[in-house]
Amino acid sequence: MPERRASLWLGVVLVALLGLAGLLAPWLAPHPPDAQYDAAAAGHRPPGTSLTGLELADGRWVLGDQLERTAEGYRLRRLGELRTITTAELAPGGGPHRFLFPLGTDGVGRDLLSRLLHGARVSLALALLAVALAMTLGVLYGAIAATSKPWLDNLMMRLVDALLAFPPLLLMLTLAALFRPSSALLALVLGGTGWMEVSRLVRAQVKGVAARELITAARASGLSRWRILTRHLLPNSLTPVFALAPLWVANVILAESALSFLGLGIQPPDASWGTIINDGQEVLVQAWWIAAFPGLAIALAVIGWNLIGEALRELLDPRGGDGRRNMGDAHR
Amino acid sequence: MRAGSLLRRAVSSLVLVWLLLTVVFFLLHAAPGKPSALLATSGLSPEQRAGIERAYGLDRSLPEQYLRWLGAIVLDGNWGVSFTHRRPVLELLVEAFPATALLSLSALLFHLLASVGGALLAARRKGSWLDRGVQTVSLLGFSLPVFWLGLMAILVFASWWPLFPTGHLRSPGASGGGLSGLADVAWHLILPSLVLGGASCGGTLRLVRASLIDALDQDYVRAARAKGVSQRRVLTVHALRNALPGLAQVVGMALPALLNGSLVIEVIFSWPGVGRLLFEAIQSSDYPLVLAGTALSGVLVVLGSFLADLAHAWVDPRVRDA
Repeated sequence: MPERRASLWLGVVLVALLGLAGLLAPWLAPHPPDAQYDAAAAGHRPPGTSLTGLELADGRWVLGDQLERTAEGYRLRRLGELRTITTAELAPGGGPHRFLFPLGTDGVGRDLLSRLLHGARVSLALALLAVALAMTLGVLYGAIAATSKPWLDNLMMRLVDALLAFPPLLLMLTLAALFRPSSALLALVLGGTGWMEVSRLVRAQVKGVAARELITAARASGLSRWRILTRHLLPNSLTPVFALAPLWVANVILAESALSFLGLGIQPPDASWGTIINDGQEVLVQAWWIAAFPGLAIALAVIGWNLIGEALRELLDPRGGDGRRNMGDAHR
Repeated sequence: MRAGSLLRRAVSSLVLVWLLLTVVFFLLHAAPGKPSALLATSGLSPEQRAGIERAYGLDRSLPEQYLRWLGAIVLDGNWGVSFTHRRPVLELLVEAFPATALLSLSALLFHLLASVGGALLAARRKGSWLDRGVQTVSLLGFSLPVFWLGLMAILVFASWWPLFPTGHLRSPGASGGGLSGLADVAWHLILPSLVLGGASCGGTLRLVRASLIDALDQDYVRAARAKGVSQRRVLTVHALRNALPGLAQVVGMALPALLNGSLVIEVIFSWPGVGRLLFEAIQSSDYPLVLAGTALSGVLVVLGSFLADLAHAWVDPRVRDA
């Protein structure tokens, strides 16, 4: 299907671009993400603002809209006032410097674009880590359940049902509130609440494969249970699990952003896209760009992963079934 | 559904609820922020601490605490007392519930209208530009963070173009009763329920579209067409009837997503419901309230999926008579 391949590639390009942006953030970002040059004069500036600044002898910066050279130094229009700065006040070699803020600034004058690029690192790395964790847990749990005695299998899957009945965001919030995890440990909370669907899918797959002749043959030739599981059952069951991984990454990015938006995810000084939206919520009307742009970044990342996930699912399942539905019904 | 399978389904739902409660209890006692740890750092004298521990039963063994906790819930409906509000947790949750129910139900209504409407448009001609457009919009729908959509809706429709209020259930000073009071609530309800219902409908839309397209391929539809039934009637009467059983299940499955979404939407729109109550409880480490809220929403989801199965059986004779 050419259309499917096109959307697969669109997704790959989106994900690759955002991944590169995150990886290369220190070199791509026009400013350090936490640099506050002149909080009073550069705070809440709209996208496309360009300011001129001078570095003072004590290392601070003063930023203003207009700068004029005078005989004794400079005259700077800052916050509607004219301020004279003599050459003696300047840092050695501190000539005028141009500051461009392509997406505007936040309340303390930090560059929004630089914060978004660095936030990409945090959001994407955390999502990948959490999905890897959820998949490992889910594969182990599902494989163990599928190859256990029926009563144990049944009990294990009822526990999964019980965990899935909690609204996931509420479960994550509760865990985050109880354990107050650091930014890296947040992956445990995100992954620890995402493995249940993986385990259902793995269990259904392993059960399906176990009924096939190759397993009967393996059993007949006297292979141990562990060897059958690792050499035959899992390799033959994991393709659909990996195909769904991109969709899970998309979900985890959304979940992390919601947690961080509510103040229980990534903690300062780290910043993810969700925490930046949280910063922007209070000044939504005065400085809409702070909340608006990180949301677009989240949307692009999630669309990218969803496009890849959907295309993979259809390419691997020519019947064009709906994977989300299959995922939920897998154990029934 | 025969009585036997109905009973089996009910029993397994009860087991599920018990597992849920057990998970919640052990969550509370595994966490570093559990009550006894809080007490240890509270600066109270050992005697005072022992008194409090005795009063709340914290000095007993874990299995005993578990049984007492479960017993209080099942026998007396006693979920404990909120730390911050100093009132029974259940009372607080019951008070906040109507606002959440109002928001969730109107969101669900819009969710169904939008997804069935969109699916009918898309399924009319599979692969047409309209179909592709609807599918693209639905992809956008489940890729956008719902809290961000809410903020943008406030920015555009309450600030730049002030059609709606920025939040709350009623205008300040507005009376509760009467037609004008109702209209006031409805006016406050529109924006949050549109965002909540709209943001979650992408997945449902795709499911309904897929089952409509499935149905259009069936012999009875071909027979109806051969009889000269119009395309519109084939879609809205014959095919949609076939897609209905799936829809009942979808509503059951959409419940966790709606509860999820209503939490952030209530926070953003200052909506005085369960979601905001729980969020504030989480922020102030009010564990009895948080855990009761978490457990009760789990119970609600189990109940929802049980009811969805009943509805499924009711609309689908193949399941009903099975």
